[in-house]
Amino acid sequence: MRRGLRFEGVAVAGIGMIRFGMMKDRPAAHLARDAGLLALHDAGMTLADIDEAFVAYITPGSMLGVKAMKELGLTGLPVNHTENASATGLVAFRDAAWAVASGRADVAMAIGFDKFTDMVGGGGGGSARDRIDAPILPAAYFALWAQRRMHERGTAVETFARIAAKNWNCGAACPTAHRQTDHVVTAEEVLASALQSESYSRGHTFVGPVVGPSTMTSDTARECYEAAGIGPEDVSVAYCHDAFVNEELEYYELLGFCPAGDGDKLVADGETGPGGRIPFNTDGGLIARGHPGGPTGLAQIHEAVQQLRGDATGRQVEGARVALAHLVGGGSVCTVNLLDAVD
Amino acid sequence: MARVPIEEGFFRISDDPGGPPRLLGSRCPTCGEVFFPRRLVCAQCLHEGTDDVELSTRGRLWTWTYSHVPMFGKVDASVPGYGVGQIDLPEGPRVQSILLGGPGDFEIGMEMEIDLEVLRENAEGDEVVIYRFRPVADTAGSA
Repeated sequence: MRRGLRFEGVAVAGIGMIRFGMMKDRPAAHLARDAGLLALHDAGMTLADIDEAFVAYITPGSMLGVKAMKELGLTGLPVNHTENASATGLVAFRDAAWAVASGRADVAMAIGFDKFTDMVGGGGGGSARDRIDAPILPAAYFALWAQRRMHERGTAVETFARIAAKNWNCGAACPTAHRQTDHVVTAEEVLASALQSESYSRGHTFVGPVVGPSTMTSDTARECYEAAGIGPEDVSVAYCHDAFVNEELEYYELLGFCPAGDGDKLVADGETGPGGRIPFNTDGGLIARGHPGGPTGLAQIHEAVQQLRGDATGRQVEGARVALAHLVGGGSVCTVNLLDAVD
Repeated sequence: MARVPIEEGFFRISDDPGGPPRLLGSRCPTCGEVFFPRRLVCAQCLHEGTDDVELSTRGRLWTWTYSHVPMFGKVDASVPGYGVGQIDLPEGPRVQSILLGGPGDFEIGMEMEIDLEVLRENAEGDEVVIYRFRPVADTAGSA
């Protein structure tokens, strides 16, 4: 089965994003409205120009997407709802591009929002308390992956800390990131912090919020590169699912930027930081920007487009021509997207 | 006082109070792949209809971690934290489970054995239990 898609003649016409944050006193639909208006203004359009919308959110609530779109206007356009855990926004972006590539829409809009402060239960609390997987938090599963990495590759905790510090510092250079550190974060500071502390294959775990097989990322990346007709050596800047720092280290390898086991050396040489061979998460990534599942993938696109336009003030990757955006979701979804600059 | 599982369908509690619980799995009659938990359709060959099997009570630790600030620990027990691990059973399935022991007690590749952890007492006065794995003494070895 071929899943890689190449969309000829499809371009990002406009982008818009508001700074990530707690937003306790603002309705979710208003967050979507404000980001949506920024994107429409950037494109020089109104909602009347949009033929189809793809709304991305993971906060529970049926039809919240339609409610959010109504804040932008009522034009009769069809509204699709996407939910794919962490990968939600990036899949909505893919679907919007696909709608245009298919010819059924001239212009499509992908829009993501989430308010985790509105979520109830989750993570083992509330009604989930009587479930077999209630006792184990999702973070533990990524820790299991990190522990296995340290066992197999000899990865040092300092390597993880360097990636975390890099993304904290990148976030400080990006005005829409939630976390804005007022000083340069070092790996030593990270280590001293209080919180230091899918095709079927054998070894797949079915109970609990699973991480999923790492081959999800390498398989999807391969199909994406094949469809695009380029390779990792052509990519100028990359965005990945750095919900936990050990993931970013793994994705250097799984996305093809170095052989398996060589990611630690990339970190040691600073190759994935500003000015490096392949800068990762120039906006601070999920670690510094924040990670509401709906907007996350679209935030990656927002930053990638700024880089390709040459508008990423203070964090610009010189001569950026091709950007890669990767997310995984719920241990069962992976999406990899390549964007190239328009001359 | 009776013991009841936190959720039905995942493990069987032994009638013998000292006996280990048994994880409830499925075996595909066509390709032989074994799964935990139970499922109707084989994930490998897509055969519809599997045979119920009870899985081994011992396995090897594939990886582990220790939750120092556990939600479950704070809500349900007066414990400072608990281990979490993945155990490879001889039949094939990799099972995720809480672990008995402190952060210094685990080593990748060691042999683990299943037993029960009491989470709390329910309104009927029964003990709500979940399966967990603990190290078998002196079996730390290769992964």
